[in-house]
Formats: sequence, structure tokens, C-alpha cells
Amino acid sequence: MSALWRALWRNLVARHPAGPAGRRERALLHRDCGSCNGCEIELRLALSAAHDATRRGLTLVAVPQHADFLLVTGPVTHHSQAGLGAAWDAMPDPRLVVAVGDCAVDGGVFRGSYAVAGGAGSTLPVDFAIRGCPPTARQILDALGEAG
Amino acid sequence: MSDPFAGAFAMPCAGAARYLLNDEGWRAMAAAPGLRFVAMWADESAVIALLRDAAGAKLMATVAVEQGFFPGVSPWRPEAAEFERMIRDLWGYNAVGGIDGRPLLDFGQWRLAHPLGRPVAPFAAPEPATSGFAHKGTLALMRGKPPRVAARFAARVDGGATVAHSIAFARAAEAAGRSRVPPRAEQLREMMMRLEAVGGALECIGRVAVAAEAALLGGRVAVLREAVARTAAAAFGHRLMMDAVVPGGVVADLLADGPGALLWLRRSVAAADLPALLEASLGRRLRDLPAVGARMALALETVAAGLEGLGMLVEQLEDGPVIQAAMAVAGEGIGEATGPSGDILHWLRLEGGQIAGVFMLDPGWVQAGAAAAEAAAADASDAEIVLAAHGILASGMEL
Repeated sequence: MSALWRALWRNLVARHPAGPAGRRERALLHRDCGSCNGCEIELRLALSAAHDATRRGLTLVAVPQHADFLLVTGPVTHHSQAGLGAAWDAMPDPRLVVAVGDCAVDGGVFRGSYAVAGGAGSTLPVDFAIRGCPPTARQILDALGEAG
Repeated sequence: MSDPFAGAFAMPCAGAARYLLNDEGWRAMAAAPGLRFVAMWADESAVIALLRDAAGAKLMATVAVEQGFFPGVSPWRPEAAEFERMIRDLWGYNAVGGIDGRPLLDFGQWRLAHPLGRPVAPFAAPEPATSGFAHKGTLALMRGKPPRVAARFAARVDGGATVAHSIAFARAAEAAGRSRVPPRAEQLREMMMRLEAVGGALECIGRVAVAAEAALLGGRVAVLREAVARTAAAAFGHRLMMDAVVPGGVVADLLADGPGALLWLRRSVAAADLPALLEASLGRRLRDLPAVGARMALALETVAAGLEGLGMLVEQLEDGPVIQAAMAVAGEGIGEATGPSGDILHWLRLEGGQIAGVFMLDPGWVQAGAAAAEAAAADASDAEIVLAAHGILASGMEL
């Protein structure tokens, strides 16, 4: 019986390198770097029962050591830079930075403020940018799927 | 407030009475106009202030230090600030609300911290309501811009209250510019504000569900919150209705799909039967946390009343323009609106058609104190739920 299961499993995995349901597990760490909460509302919805984040293998984690993707929201204020850098430094490779929302992409409307460094790119190498003020839950999920 | 020492226990002390005050009495002492502040220092788990009354007689007041904190005196008496700094450096006691947080004596060259203090037991401090990380320099960015342009910043103080903040800002600008808003625009603003309040109330229940690990409730509420966002997009073109309200009126008229979407939302919420779900998931827990229970009841009421009101507003909607362009170029005014977590007030001064001065008062300023007090009174395991019910946002207060 177990041999049959093993054969079946190998067959499925061989056909679908990403796993039986085409799913790859991705652990997301979120850092609010001065966001107005608009992106958080959409992000919370994206990861809630209202959408299919779990089916896409996306889960939120609390500590950087468990994370594959670092999701940055907010224009990245000077006061938030150190914390953001520390979270990134603690993440194991391979890892990606995803800027969620116009603020995290380039500072958005807050670009040029004395208190704002101007987007995740001011502090970290950004791999993926999701535009929108805020981007919708669906846009966030689709972009995270594309990011890998 | 007349005599902060009335009824207070007097501790024996030769030369001057030393009254043991509770936090309230201590603050009354700090605020009492008839007393002159002389000095302040600390003792084991207590802070002592020396004062003189109107006749010049010495008085001493004492307050207990709890978890390393005592109520600051410097907010009322700036001359106390240096004493508070000294007390922090030497005893390690922090003045809550103290106006000056800089060190006075300890610049990190000593071999020990707080040489006069006793080690305080570690405790789980709640996240401070403000830490400066969310400060974006918003008020400075608004200055020198015309109100229509600056409205984009008012809309981004709190994404969950973007409509209410936009309305308060628009009303302040309209008051300053002595301009009137067309009736249809007022009605549309009211509709957006109610829809936002429904979304905010659902988020409030959702936060509590997450904090209390009530997964079923949290999931159902998230589905309804998503339905509110979709309704807002169908009715006003944006899921949070951001930038829909501007000084002079609104830029987003009710879209053709709006009335149908609102009806669908009402049916979806009715079908979910939130009151029964909340009772089944958290009923017993909330009876131990009456303040949270009251907030949940208020949230349910906001959802029900908001959706009913929206239905009526759709039917009563008048025809006409939705924006009024003309506005005076100079003046000063305040505007108010009710956001999902409380009353919002904006103050605005216009010069030459541009913003010369502005302040946006978020409900967080009022709520933070109440939230901290409720959380402190609750069991450690319940503190998270209490804070979730308040949902204070750093961005709103730190601007």
C-alpha cells in the first residue's frame, strides 16, 4: 500500500514540480514603515478568508527568520529604516523584498518630506513593486504569485 | 480640584506634612494654581514633590511609582522637567507625560544605570501608542499648497478613516473659504461616511476576533469587509473611497452600479447574522470584558444602522451639481466629521489661496489614554483583545 502511495506521490510531484496543487509555500513578513493603514486594510483582506491566499501557499509569519518575502508598506520614514534593515538582515536566503503600494514603491505622496526616506528602495534592494494607493487585495495576491 | 490634599493620608515627617496622593490627586496637585512648585526627588518606589502654599508654608506630596512610572508634573509646571530628568537618570523612574525626555546627568559613562533605583520587576508593557515611526511630515507637506491639492494628504492620515478625514478637512477649508457645498454633495458625503463606518466596525470586530483567536468569526467578518470594499468600488470608484471627497464637494458621484451594490451588501450582512455569530464565538469571553463587549455592541449597531441609513439616503438623493468651485482665498476655519473610531477635527488657515497653517486631530489622541487604562486593568491575556477593540493607529496621531 505504502509503495503505491509513494509511486503516486512521485508521479504527481514529477508532473508538477511546484507540488500537487501547483502550490509553493511562501512565508510573508510584513513591515509597516509609516503606512496610513490603507495598504494594511488591503493586505489583511488579501490574507484573510475573503481571498485564497492559503490556497496559493501564502502565509503571514511573525519573525524574519521564518520569512521568504519581506512585504514593505509605507513611505519608509527615517525612524523606521533601522527596524526594516534589521528584519531584512535576519531573513535567510533566498529572500525577496516586495514594495506594497505607491508609498513603499517611491514614497508616494510623501516623497520629499523631511521625515521620509522615500520607499523601500531607500533602504533595501527591491525585487518586486506593487503599485496602487492602495493596491487591491487581488492585485497584491496576483503580484505575489508572479514574484515566485 | 480645589484641595488636592483633602482627605489624603499624611505621613509623619518633621517640618512639613507629606501627603500620600493617588495618581489623580497628584495630577490635581500639579495643576493647582495656589501651590508653588519647589523641587522634586524620589525615594524607594515613590516620588516626592516639595511645594509651598499661598501662605508660604511647606507641603510635601508623594505618589507611588508603579512599574517604574509616575505621573509627570512638567506638563503643568515646566520647572519640574529638570527634576524629572534627574529622577529618571538616578532612580530610573519615568515621568509619564514629562515634557523633556533628555538625560540630565547620565550620559552613558557610568558603570551602572539608575544608581539610586531598585531593579523593577520586568513586565509586559503594551506597545506605546506613539513611537515616531509613522511620522511622515504630513503637516509640512500640506503647507503652501491649495486645499484641493492638500486634500490628498488629509485622505492619507488614516486609510480606514480616509472619508471622514477628507470631510473634516473639506469642511475646514470650506469654513475658511466661506464656501457652501451643493446639497447632493452633502448627501453623497454622508453616504460615503456611513459606508466607511460599516467597514470600520467590521474591522473592529475582525481585530478582536483575531486577538481572541476566533477564526470562524474572523473569517466571516473578513468576507463582509471585502464586500464593503467591493460595494465602495462599485458605488464610488475606489475600495476605500480615497480622494473622493474634496473641498467644495465630491469628485465621485454615485455610479450606476451603486444602488444595486448597496442592496447586495445589505443582504450579505443580514445573511451572515453577525450578532448570533459574535455571541456564539465570543459571548462568554466578552462578559468578562464589559468594555470590549460594549465596543462590539456599538460596532454591530453601526453596521445595522449604517446599512439602513444608506438605503434611505439612496432614495432621498437630490439631483444637482456635486461640486462648488468658488472659494475665498483667505480665512480660518475648523471642520468636523465622525470617523469609524471617533470624532475628527481639522483646523485650517488659508492665505493667498494656499494653506498657511493646518492641524488634524485624530481620535487616537483621546482614545490612547482610555485604551491604555483599560488594557492595564485587564488580565495580561486579555490586554491584546482590549487594544484590538480600540485599534489605535500610529499614523493618525504621529502625522
